[in-house]
Amino acid sequence: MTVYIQAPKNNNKVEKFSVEATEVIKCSPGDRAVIINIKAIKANDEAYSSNIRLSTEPTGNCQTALIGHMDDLISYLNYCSSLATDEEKRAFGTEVLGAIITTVNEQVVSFKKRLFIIDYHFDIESNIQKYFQLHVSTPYKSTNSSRMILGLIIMPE
Amino acid sequence: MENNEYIKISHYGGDEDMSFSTGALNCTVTFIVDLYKGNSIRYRETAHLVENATGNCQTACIGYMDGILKVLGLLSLEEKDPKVAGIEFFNLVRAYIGRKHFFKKRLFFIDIREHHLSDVEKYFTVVVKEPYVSTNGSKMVVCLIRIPLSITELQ
Repeated sequence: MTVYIQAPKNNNKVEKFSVEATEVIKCSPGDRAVIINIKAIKANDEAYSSNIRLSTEPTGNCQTALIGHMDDLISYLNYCSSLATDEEKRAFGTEVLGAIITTVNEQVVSFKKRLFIIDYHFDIESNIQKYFQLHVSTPYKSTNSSRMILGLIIMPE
Repeated sequence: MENNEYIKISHYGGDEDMSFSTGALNCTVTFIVDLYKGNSIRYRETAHLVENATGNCQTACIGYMDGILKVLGLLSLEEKDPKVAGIEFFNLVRAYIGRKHFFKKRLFFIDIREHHLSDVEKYFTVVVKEPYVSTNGSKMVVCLIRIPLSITELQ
């Protein structure tokens, strides 16, 4: 099942957005690792496609999931809504997150989590804040000295 | 640790240690942690480790940290520094995972209840900690802990 998303008004001529779980691994006891393909298709059939990864219960806490490859997700969101206003970007980010939740719910496992652990480079901090509602965030320095941020995003009710 | 007391990491019977066809986006290793006293198992927990959970190759994620803390709490440390016990435990985990993977990460995410934080700080070096209230109202802390590869790195 593919979930299609409404395009933002100033959408850089992207016509269709889709979210689909393409690969699922049953980890244990409650964790499912899911590769989610996010795609944007323009009128001329030019497509932008990226993969992100979602772990349904990586820490054992049933209230949280984890989204990996946030940089790829942000690149996708920027591609789709580069001309949109900040309000439209937040609405679009929420819509994509909702589509990811729906995809996991319908294709993988009953899924009602709203908190997602993320870990991203300091450079994309402003983009993260534009597209998502940060619940908490804290900076740290990685072992290779990269400036990183550990955070939690929340899906609005 | 008493002479006849030891921890053994072993294979979990489920679908563990698998990778996606996309290769780099590899997956979870689930393992059983047994605390032995002599020849008998005194306590057993299951935990897991998610490699490259966030896409950042410098970090991994540890699941079921409360169980790991329970096992460490049952160890008789005697004069041993608890942080040394933490390193020794993870060296067992690394040795187990190292059979199939090259695993030298030092930074690990954990997500724990607030009342477990003092235990985490006892056994591990907490790099950052961020308290939050979960969607069910639980007081939680998301942390990044640093586990050196060897005891000399700790000093």
